[in-house]
Amino acid sequence: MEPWDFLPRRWKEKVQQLGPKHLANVEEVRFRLDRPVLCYGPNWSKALGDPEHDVLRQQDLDELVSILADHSLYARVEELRHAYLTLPGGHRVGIAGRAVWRDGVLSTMTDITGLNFRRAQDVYGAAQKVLNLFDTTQPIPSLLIAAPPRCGKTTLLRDLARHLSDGGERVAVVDERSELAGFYRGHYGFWLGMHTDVLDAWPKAEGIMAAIRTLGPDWVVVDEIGGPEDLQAVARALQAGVGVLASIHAGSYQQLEAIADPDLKGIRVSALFPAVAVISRRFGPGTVEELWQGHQQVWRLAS
Amino acid sequence: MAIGLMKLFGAVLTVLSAWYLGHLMAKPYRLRITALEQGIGILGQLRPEIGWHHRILATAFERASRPFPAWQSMAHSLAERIGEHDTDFASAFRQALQCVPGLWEQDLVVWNELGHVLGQSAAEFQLNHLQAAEMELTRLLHEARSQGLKTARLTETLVSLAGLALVIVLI
Repeated sequence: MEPWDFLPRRWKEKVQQLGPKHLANVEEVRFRLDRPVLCYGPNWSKALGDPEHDVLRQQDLDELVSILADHSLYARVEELRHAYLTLPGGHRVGIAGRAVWRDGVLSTMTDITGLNFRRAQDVYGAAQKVLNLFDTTQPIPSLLIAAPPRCGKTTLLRDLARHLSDGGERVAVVDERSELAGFYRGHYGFWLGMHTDVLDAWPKAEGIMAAIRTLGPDWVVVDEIGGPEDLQAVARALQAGVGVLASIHAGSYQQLEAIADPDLKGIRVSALFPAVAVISRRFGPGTVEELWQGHQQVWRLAS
Repeated sequence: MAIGLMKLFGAVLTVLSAWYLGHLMAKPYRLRITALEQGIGILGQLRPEIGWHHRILATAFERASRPFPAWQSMAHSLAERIGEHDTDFASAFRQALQCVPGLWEQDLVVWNELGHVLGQSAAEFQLNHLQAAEMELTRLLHEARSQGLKTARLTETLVSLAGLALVIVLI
């Protein structure tokens, strides 16, 4: 199912009116307060309906959020706290709105002003471009995938996890935002291989430690690390002899070099991983730009 | 002999019909009591489903209604309406309540009020709303048992007696 299949009929019909050519490659549908609904593809954007008259009101957004949460906001508070809602099939709706603080802690969101329906991609073989860069006679080293948003990090990580698992490795996926496995009400949205366990909705650092302690994995897979506690957990996993596949937001290897954790005596995130792949969307999402191993650039995509 | 048997048959049939009529007339009272008893049971089951398991309302209602046959079709209807992604919860809830046999107007007021507030806030507030509705429904059940059941029994007895009296007069 597509993410817009969960919209009320009137919006769903408008999305379907885009036509097969656009529908095939819609990446996002964005609902914004006082603006028309916009659909985005790789190199295009299009308004739904009449841009002059079909503008969204607060009431429309509130109704949409309620429907997306199955009219059970209390059951989705943890997701709202992180500004998203998960849909079946691994799709996700990003939410913009006003944060509600309670006892100094962000407790939920209110006054919703924007919704971003993102279509999750499950591309079998997406990881092959990365895997081809490694010596096939040697085990794959722990790998960090660095890329800006919307470059296909999660798709790549998902396929790498599946590749390892199908190769007989025991894989533990720490899926804090239910994006990698797309777990939703007792079902996985994506197949991650026969030998994969999923720690769904676990905070990354706690999830990594729990996986090492209890699941005996050969590999831990984690999306979008960044906080000091994440880096410490990754370091612990690597020290324990567990391979780590992770992704991080960074536009280049040089940007990555700047991310360091003082608690790890200044160890740079790039130094934690034996291999770092830098990804872009220059030739479509998942374009491998560079591969670094031991601070050496060992491969670069011709410009 | 044959006439005597026919009279006896007619007398028995009249008494049975009167009893059945009385039973039919008392049915709404009994149905209401069943609907209220089972509805209160559902509210009790909903508390852990919402407060502890944090299940969505459609699933919570389906699970909570399993031991309560009078409410099963309501829970099923609610899940179907919500699954269409095209209605607000209060409307879906109000329409699904029509599947519950025996609820009276004053009972529906309490349930519809609950339908307006369910799902819209944090779990603790949901639990408060459930508790308030449970208290109100318990009061209505008490009323139904003390007044309604009395009326039901009286109706049954009176109509049955009327049938018996008719038989005596006819004989």
